[in-house]
Amino acid sequence: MPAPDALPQQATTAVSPQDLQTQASPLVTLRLLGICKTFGRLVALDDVSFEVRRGEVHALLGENGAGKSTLMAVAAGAIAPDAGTVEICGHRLERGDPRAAQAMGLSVVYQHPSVVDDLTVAENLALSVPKLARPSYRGLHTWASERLELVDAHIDPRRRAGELSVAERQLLEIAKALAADARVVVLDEPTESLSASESRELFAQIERVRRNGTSVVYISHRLPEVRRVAERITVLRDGQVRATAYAQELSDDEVLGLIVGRPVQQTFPAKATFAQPGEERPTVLEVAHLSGQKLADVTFSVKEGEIIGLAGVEGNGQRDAVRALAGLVGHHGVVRVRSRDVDTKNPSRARRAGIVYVPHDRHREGLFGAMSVKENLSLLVLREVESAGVLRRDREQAFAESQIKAFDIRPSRTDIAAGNLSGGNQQKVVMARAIAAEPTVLLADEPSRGVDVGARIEIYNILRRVADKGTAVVIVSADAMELAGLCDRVLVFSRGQVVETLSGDDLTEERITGAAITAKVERAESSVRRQQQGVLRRAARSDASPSAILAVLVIGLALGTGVGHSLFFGARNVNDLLFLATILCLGGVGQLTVLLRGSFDLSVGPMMGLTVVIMSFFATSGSGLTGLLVGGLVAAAAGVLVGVINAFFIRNLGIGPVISTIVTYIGLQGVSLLLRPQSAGPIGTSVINAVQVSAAAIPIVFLVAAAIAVACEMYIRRTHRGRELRAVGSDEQRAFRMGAHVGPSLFLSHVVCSLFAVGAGILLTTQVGIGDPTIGASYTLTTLAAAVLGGASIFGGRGSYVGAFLGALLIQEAITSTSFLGLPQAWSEWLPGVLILGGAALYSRLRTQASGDAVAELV
Amino acid sequence: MGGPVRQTRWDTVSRISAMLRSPFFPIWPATAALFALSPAIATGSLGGSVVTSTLPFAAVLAIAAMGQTLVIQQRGLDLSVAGMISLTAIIVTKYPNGANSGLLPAIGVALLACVITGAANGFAITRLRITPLIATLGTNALLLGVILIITSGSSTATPAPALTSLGFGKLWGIPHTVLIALALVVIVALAMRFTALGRRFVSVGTNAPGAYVAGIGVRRYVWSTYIAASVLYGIAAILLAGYVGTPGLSAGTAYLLPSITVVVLGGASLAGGSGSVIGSAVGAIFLIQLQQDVFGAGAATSVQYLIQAGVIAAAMAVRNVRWTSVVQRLRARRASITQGGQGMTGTATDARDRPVPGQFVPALGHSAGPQISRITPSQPSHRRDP
Repeated sequence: MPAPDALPQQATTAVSPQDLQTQASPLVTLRLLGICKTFGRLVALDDVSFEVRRGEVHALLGENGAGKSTLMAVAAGAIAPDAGTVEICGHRLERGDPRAAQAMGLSVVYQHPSVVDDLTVAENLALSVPKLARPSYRGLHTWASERLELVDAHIDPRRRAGELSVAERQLLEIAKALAADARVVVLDEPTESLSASESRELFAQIERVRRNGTSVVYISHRLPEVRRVAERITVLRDGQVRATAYAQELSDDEVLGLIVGRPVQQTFPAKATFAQPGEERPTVLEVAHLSGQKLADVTFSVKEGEIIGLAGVEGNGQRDAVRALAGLVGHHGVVRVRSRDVDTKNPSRARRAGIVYVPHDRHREGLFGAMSVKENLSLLVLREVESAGVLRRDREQAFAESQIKAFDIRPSRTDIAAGNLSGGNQQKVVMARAIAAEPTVLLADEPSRGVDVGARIEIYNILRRVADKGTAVVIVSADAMELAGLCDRVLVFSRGQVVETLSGDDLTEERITGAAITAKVERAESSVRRQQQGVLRRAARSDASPSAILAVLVIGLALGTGVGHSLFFGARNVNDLLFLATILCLGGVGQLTVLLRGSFDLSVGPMMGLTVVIMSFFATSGSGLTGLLVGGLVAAAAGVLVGVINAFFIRNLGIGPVISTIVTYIGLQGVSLLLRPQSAGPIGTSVINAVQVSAAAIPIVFLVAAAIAVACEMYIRRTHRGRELRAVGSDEQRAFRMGAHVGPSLFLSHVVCSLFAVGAGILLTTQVGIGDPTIGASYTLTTLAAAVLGGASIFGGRGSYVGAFLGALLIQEAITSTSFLGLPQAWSEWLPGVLILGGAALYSRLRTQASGDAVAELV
Repeated sequence: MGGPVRQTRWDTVSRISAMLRSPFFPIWPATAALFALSPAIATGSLGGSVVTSTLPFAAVLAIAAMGQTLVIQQRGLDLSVAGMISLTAIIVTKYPNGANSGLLPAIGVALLACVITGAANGFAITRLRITPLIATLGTNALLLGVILIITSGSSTATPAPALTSLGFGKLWGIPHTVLIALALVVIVALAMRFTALGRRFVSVGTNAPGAYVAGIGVRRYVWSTYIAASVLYGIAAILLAGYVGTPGLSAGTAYLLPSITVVVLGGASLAGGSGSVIGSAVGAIFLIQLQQDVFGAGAATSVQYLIQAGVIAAAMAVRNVRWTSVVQRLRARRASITQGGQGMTGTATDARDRPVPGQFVPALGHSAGPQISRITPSQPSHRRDP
């Protein structure tokens, strides 16, 4: 381990890997030995050893990118290290297995809560605890409330996790970790979005679990908090352990020194020279009383030639301030550019006001990776390289070449995809594009993120040149040294407010970091805790609400039709209607199964068709019920095979679900035609009678299908596996981290879907009466419509079996009633169409939540 | 000094290798190979008359697929293509009632209906925030109702002679339909490449958040895409009507899945972003010629379907395999076998190259970026790509 400079290292009890090895006491609950991990060329962890004792709160400190989160992801089995070992409570963790880590007693509360949005709070909690600790369904909500009470979270366990505020999710995450009764709990910046009283409650909670012998790894930027909770401190910097010591052995300054270190001396361009007396430069940008979801009354101004830095611990409003100015975050307040009030409601208005934003998330919001460097560079200045709407290649080429030269972008080629450039050069492309637009105000969010030292200095010089030309430059950066070196003035944010303004000699790295982490501003309670949702509102958002709406529609339509036409309620019509509906219900319920898993099956219809063909070979007039049974079994075997093939295409060949099931769609039609080139093989009457038997005008199969739908509904709501299926469908990554079975659930859901299609096909067989090879395909889209009408989301994770069942019933009922009502036949298409559009629009309205970030709300 | 010379050579080489690696490239050699094999598979499947009788169908499919390409490029999917083709074909054959004078107004009405449908799709998607798949499923059902109204359930039509000659006529020995398709492909491809509008369209498809941040009206572009696509479906349907004369009530249904398949064969990804109208057009020729060959070889419809399914699956699977990672993994395996045990050799490759869900990679500077974007297509993007 390289000696960390001339800092008071002597005062610490640095633990070397050798110490850790020899000191094999049973008191150690988490032991990481010699962990190395690189991402591409970036060394994230370099021979890191770290141990946590029983009943200890151990703080892990370090700057952004120091390797803290990666280290904990390794401990949790979410990342496999390149070298080194992980031991949890004496058990060796094999690589990359979050389930095993959980079972051994480690639980992580991620900084970005990894709750599954489509599940309820209680379901999220139940999903994260080991088998033995899981509550029964009956006691689920009481159990969940108790767990939540433990962290003083007043959250209704029936609410959907996706609707929680950031603070509430954080509390839910913590409750999850504690509910799992872990031996080691890792808390990654847990208080970032908590109010003061919530934080206090959390500390009390940490103390309680610590006394029970649980170890806590506490990752934080905030020194006062660390002092309050932690017994020992380990500091990471650049992927290496710099020190491990008892908290009281180190002063704040010493800890800061260890965190910041003294890396390669960087040269910054000279600062603005206008601070001389007598020279008053005009103000370019004025911001007054800027407020928003994460902003509280921010006021500042930027003069010509000035570079302003916004600092703060991540998530304290500094980024929201520039995003508000860029038109990306809802806000109110006054923004003036060169003394003119401007509107920054959306990015195109902000741009018209002369404001250009360089986003921090280069891959998502900045770079068009698949487009060429030239196309990236010219995007904001297309007007200057076109004439009459046609791009002038020569002008564009010349423009791109001049930019490449000016910003020294390498390789100096205009035609390669921008995504193939190195990070530094990508950043230069994004910067060049913004600067070429000749902004009055340039907002640069993390201008040097992911950029190596050389390119970094160039970017600093570029920014300074731009400022010198009179542009107001505002920078957000998590790197305090960068801000101190580059900016003329730095505003430090905490909890959405500016808590300190540093300039001149006060503008040092230590002062910035110090101001950010010692700030005692408390988040206003009101902004965090939201009003309890009304019962009605919550009910409307639940997975059951579509079923209720559909049930009302089904009954309403029946009454509406039946009042004038008594035959509608005649035994014959009821029987026919319900039998036809049952075919669709089974198909819809099958489709729902794959939708819940986040997949898709277009081959449902042809699978039904193939079943008809198969049955026509077995369930012939002479065969009797044996034929029905044998045919059913053969069809079921075919169904299993088709389900496996679909899942294999999707998971093992990486073909998307749509194309995968288009392939089986076409293939199944081929097989059907191969077996029955023409309609042939009449179905035995005994078979038809057996399948279509009914009791008091109600087909038995309808009752069976309804029972199956209810049983499936209970399975996905009440069992662990059912919750897991929905969790995986909602978000594969998060569900995997929570220990769900990702692959098997895909195979299972596709097989079940095909089996439902086989069931529907058997009913269809008796309806058609002959082996018709072309029937069935048209059912695919109707099954999809039924599932969506029942409240399923085609993005997975949401839906209801009862809903899909009722959706199918309603569609069939609508088709039947049009003829009774004397409506033109067109209504048999219009009614379902209107139902689908109306339903989808209504559900989407109920579900979308204003997140405040315009980009996130984009379609 | 050899500088500039080396520069040009490097340029040519890299340009060619970039072309070879482009997703839109494989369909060309595949189609060429298919044509080369055609005489062997089915004698007479490549004769002049066959080409002129096959190409019109490829042309119609190509135009419809062009519309679908635009939609897929904007991360959507358009199921209403079926209804729009059916409706347009019916309007332009039914209303002129055999008179040329009625043809133009009928075409006008049909295209207007397409524009309205496209606008409805755009409204449902951008304003009502319904996913494209469901929105277009709904509008398609509405169109089917309209078809039932105007036909009263049976297709009877006397096509105007002008329409028939549009479908069967030739100019310089090339069918009109083919010329029109060619012209449209060229126009759309050029507009994509060489106009500011096309550039912004591509940028919205490539990275909608990025385009939004750059001040481009993303919603407006999405909306216009559905309208433009609808007009293309309309044009495809008019040509189809000229060719078949009396289109059935569900003439368009035959174009639903093929229009999607052809776009994917042409190299586009259903996850959106990329797309090439030229690739899709070549894909249309490939698919129709494949049908023609199998048909020409005397195979039954059933075999046709099976071969189609096999070819599409093979094409997709080959495209999705990351050959470099296969080679690496094989090497790693050989290395670990020669070492006589399973060491950590294959670990890094496995972890990074196989898109295993749950392979959690934190955002750590630039080097983590490409990994994340390489992993995502198989998971969250199935959410975007139903």
